[in-house]
Amino acid sequence: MFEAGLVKALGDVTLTIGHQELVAVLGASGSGKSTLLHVLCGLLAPTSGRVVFEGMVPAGQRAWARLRATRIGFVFQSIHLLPTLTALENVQVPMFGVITRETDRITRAAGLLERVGLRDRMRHLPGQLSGGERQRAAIARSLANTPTLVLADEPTGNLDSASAAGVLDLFTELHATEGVTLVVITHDLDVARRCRRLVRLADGRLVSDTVVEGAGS
Amino acid sequence: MKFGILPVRNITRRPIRSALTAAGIAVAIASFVALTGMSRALEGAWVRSLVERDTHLMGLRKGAVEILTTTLDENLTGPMKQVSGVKDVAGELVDLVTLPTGQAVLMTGWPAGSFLWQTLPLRDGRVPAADDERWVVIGEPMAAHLGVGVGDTVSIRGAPFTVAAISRPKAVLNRHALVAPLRAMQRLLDRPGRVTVFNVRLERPDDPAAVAGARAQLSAMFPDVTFTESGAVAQQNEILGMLRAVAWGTSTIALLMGLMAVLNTLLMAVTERSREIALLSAMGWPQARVLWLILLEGLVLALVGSGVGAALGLGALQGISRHPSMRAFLEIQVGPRVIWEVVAAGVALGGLGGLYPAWRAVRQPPAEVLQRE
Repeated sequence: MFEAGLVKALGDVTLTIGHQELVAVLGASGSGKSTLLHVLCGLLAPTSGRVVFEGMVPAGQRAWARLRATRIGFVFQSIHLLPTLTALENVQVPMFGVITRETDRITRAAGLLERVGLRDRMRHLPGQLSGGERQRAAIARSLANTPTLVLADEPTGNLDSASAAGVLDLFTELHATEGVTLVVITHDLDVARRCRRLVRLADGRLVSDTVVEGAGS
Repeated sequence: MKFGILPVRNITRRPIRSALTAAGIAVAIASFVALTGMSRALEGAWVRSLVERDTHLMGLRKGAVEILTTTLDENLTGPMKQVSGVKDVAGELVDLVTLPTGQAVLMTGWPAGSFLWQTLPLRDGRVPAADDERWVVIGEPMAAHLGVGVGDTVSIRGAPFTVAAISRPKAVLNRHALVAPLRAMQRLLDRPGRVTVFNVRLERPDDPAAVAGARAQLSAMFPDVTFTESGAVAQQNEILGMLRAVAWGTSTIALLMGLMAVLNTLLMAVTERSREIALLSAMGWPQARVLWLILLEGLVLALVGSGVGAALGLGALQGISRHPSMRAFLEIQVGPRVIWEVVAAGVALGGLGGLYPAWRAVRQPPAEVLQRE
């Protein structure tokens, strides 16, 4: 489905993700997990095939950008908070162009940070936060515009086990309470165990798609 | 958080680099303000001097580049006065002279009884009637500079001139000039019967049609003389035109260097922050907003640098205008035009300097950048 130069990063992947699902995408390095994530949110356009989002095929980069701004949240392994902005300001960054009034942006961001347990750390710069706190702030940012889909790329990859567990608890809780669809790319079996559906990729191909009864509860 | 906070925080992230870039812009703008300001101050001094003398048209030898070295026949004064619409005409012989203190000033000779004398406000003394004696009216600051008063003697080109009066004109050129009777001046310069320019007063100087009509008649009757309106005389002068071109040329080079400073800084910033920019795209920021963010960084840098540069340039201009060799020739006026030019130069530096880095920033594929992790 996607070719970059001579490399076929993804091929023959047909995947339907339902509303409010909690899906883990597993696979070795270079298996095409990140490419799949980027195709799912329109950052990469497939050379053949299509991505249908909520019943529509977004036409072009502008449509995808609008969807990413309003319907899709992102959490990255390297966190990527803007270093010169406080946690409160970082959470407001995706809100430009979506929430017009500054006071509404601040109120919403403060509420989200409180929701992820950073009420007392809102005015801190990323450099003043621990790795776990930074990832919590990034999760709050991913929820800035009330998305229906959150894509997380190795969200615990750079965290110690205690912080990783805290972040996973938060993800599980948010999935249960906010009703968002959550797609997590991971190597981590602890993460995978919390997901009800496991999608495995190898060499850019979908090798298994299983539903684990009782997982994620 | 307001959107404008983002570019400011990005700039302050590398404070030394940003400060150096702003300093580069400041130097460029300061050069621009000082050089173009000096050229304008020279022109302004001349124009205001003519306005103060109530000269409406100035008659110069046709084709003259350096007017002080050319002369016209003084006897043309009479026929010029006969032209319809002309109220009065006074020939004037002008040259640069060096004072005993070493300062170069304009010395001018006016015909006895001409209207020019009536425009010269006197503080002390009076204008004698004798046209061929060596006396001089000296401007207040020059009198203070030379330490002379009415009745004292000043040596000009080796000849003693008695100070007959101290004048107090407003225009800087008149304030620093020495005015002698025309005959004495012609003798001093060994140019009997010659004048450098004709000062023409018109019946209806506020009526453009009347001015154009008188000018056309004068031009037709005196083909060796170019008649120019006082307000345009500096604009049409070749030497001042060359000075203007040098000022603008040098300023343009300085501004281009400022542009390179902005370009270099923003290009580095964009390269350093490629992941952050990719992240903004991943969060759904449209390309236009990313572009605007980078452009704003350039604009903020440029406007800060421009503000500092304008202050430095005006300070330098004031300093130059007080220098003994220049104070007699510069009339500095800071008006809205200077402010507009500085703002326009700042916006151009920031906008143009930010354009390419901003274009580079939005061109990078976000997925590729994010996958480099």
